[in-house]
Amino acid sequence: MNYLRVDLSKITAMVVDDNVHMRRILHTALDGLGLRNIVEAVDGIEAWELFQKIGPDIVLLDWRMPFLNGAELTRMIRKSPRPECFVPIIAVTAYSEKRHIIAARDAGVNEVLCKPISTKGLYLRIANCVLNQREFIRTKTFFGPDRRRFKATNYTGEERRGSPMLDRYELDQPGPILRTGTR
Amino acid sequence: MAGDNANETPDYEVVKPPRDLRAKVRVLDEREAARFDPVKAAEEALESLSAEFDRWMGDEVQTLFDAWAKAAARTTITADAGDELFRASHDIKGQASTLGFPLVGAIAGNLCYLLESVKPVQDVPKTLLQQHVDAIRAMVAERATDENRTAKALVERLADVTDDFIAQRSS
Repeated sequence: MNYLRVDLSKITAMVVDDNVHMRRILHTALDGLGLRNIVEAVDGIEAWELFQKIGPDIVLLDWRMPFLNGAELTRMIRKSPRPECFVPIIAVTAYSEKRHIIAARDAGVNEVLCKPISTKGLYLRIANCVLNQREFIRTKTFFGPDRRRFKATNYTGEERRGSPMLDRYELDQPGPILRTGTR
Repeated sequence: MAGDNANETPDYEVVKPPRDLRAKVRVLDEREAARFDPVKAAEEALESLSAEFDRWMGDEVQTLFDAWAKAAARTTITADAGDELFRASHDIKGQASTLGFPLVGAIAGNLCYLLESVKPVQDVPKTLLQQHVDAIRAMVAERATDENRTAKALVERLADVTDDFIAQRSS
């Protein structure tokens, strides 16, 4: 398979899912991908405590959980102090409908991985979060990774954010990582 | 146009994440990459778990069945019971394929769609819910795969009946 292979052993991942089998599946898959520091939380409340305690490099977050769901936890993380508020969040969800994916993006997640998960999909999203960290946008109503992931080739209006869309946005999508670059 | 007026208050900020995660990873060179394929390694790791999958699927089906039994015990299905039923079917929708039961995942997905589309939940015919739960139990017991024509036909039939019911309600 044609994708960039990365040593992820120094990345600390936090897996949040209320389903014990799903946690085991994700933990095992992450271990296979080469991550060596994986912590688990069984719900949003435990995740929030653990997040503040260890400050993981990446969070894999189930979207539907009792007490504190994925959207609520994402907003809490995005409101936390620097630099923790910038942590990449991958929503792992069985909600595959477009409206749910847009809602997750609007809550401030970096990536959405739909269940049933594939190991390739998991790897590419993690590698993407790590190698192609997106700039964050802060408005009155939103703080999270820039939601404009793709170069709009048919857009002829003004570039409101001051710079043209960069090539790296083409890389910033689930799919094979073709190349990397420096900012 | 935005940005023409120097006194205009900006309505957004672009912030670069202060922590560069690339410092914590290393791109493998050609020789290392030839020896280690992370995706393949993860697939092998999951394969090592597969002996547990039937039991896990059984646990998930039991959770669904318990939720259904609780919901069915009352004359009308309460919102809480409907939510519990949705949660159990949603878990199956997300895991069944990974656990080797893709058709079960399709039926669970249809059940989620039904429960999400019809509000209040008490308007969902109990018979239709029962048919979904029974189909999931039977397919797990039979270990029905994609090659099982009867199972595939059942998946399609339940999807059609669900679509018809939802369409009727909205017309």
